Amino acid sequence: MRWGIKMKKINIVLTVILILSVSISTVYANLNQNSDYIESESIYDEDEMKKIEYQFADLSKKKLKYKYTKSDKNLGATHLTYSDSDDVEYTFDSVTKNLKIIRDTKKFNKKSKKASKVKNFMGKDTIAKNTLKKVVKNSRNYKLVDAKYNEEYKCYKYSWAKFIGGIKSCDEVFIDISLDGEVLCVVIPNEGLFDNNDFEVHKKVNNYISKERALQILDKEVKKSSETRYILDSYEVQESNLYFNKDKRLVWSFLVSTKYKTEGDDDGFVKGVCIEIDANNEEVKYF
Amino acid sequence: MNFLKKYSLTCVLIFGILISWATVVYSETTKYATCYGALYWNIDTRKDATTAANNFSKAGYISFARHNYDAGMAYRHISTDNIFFFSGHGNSGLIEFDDGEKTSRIYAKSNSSSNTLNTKDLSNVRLAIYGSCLSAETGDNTGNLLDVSYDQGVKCAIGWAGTVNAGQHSTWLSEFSYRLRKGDTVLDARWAADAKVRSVWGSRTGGTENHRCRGSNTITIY
Repeated sequence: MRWGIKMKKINIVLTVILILSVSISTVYANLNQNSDYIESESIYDEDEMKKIEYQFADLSKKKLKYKYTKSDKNLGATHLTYSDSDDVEYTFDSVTKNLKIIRDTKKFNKKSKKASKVKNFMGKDTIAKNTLKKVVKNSRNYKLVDAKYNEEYKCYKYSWAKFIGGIKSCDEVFIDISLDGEVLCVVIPNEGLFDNNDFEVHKKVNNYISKERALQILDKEVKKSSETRYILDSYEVQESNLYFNKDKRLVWSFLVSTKYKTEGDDDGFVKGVCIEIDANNEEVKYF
Repeated sequence: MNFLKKYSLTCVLIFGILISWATVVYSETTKYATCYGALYWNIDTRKDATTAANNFSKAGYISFARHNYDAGMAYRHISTDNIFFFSGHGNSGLIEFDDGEKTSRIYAKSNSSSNTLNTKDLSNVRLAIYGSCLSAETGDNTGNLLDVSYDQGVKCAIGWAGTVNAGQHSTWLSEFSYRLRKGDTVLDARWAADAKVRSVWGSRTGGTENHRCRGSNTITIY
């Protein structure tokens, strides 16, 4: 009889432990589901999943297969990525259908392992120019802005831009060429943005503020951005450019390093600020 | 009586199986990623943390997006993190947290704070991302976050050698964590993130290309 009572007690204890184990497991598993979840990848449109044949600016064609869609909620943009038979990725803007990025990860990795070739090989400029002709219409309208070697990626980085009245625009092309002469990456952010030769745009180069004037406006802006808790200790302009932005405005663009401190704080912290000042009407915009 | 005995045995058996399963699964496969972001007085990096946590979660990590946390809390947990992700303010040798009421810091080394990485075992940390201005630089009194992290056991630490602007930085961090999730190596993911920033922002990269890596560039998060 006593044994029977003991058994019952043991069973009750075991049952309670089991229930507790299962409950804790369930609660723990649910806790680990991130509550601030943002879905950044989803099937965007079934039609987009079809195979496509993309025609480049030089009229050459490439058969591409849908790979994935990435929606960036921060930017409000959706990019569709396709790949060719060599698994080179081609990323398009889902709205404009413009080609934005070509990226060859396989070749990038391959060259990383055997980057022992001569850095200044002949013909790299030709490869870069031919790639430019392939990806943009009217490649003659683009001027070479920069061509430099990147030690870490072991490749040459070229950049071209379309100029309006002698001033650079954001219609740019970036091309990475490996030491083996392989095209690793092409980026085309805003192709064709200034193709219609808008008279209003051209007019903007006739009369715009000097860099000195833009720096005066910048100084005022940066100094007024302090807050009671934080004191602006110093600031330094790290980059400055005059260019036509995506809104087709002629702007002075600055990357400013601002250093703030609180009372009794020796180290402080640094914050980068991107400011664009409209070179025609002095309007200020932060990014 | 027989029924009670059988019931006891069954309970013990199930319990044993549960314990064994939990021990095996959690000890061998559980990986943690903690991602910090905050609403600072002048920028909001909470989305950066959330997006990264989402990507690491999809890569099989138990991921947490910690918003407006105190540095002390983050410091206490960092030893158990497999991925440590931070997006916010910083300076040479330090990152700054903001819990909404006050700011606090983690230092590479410091004489005035106990939140110092040079006294912490970081051998569990596979990847540390210090997403702030100057996080790859060395401070006279604060040391270097990347060097100290590596010395304390982090496999790969990422930081920035200059000033970065929040907008472009968000784009970079989002693509970086996404590419890691897709199985890219750290080097591939950094390269892809650079391309992404250029595709969105053009040559106005906001200093994002000045990232530095200490440790192994060829690791993945898998």
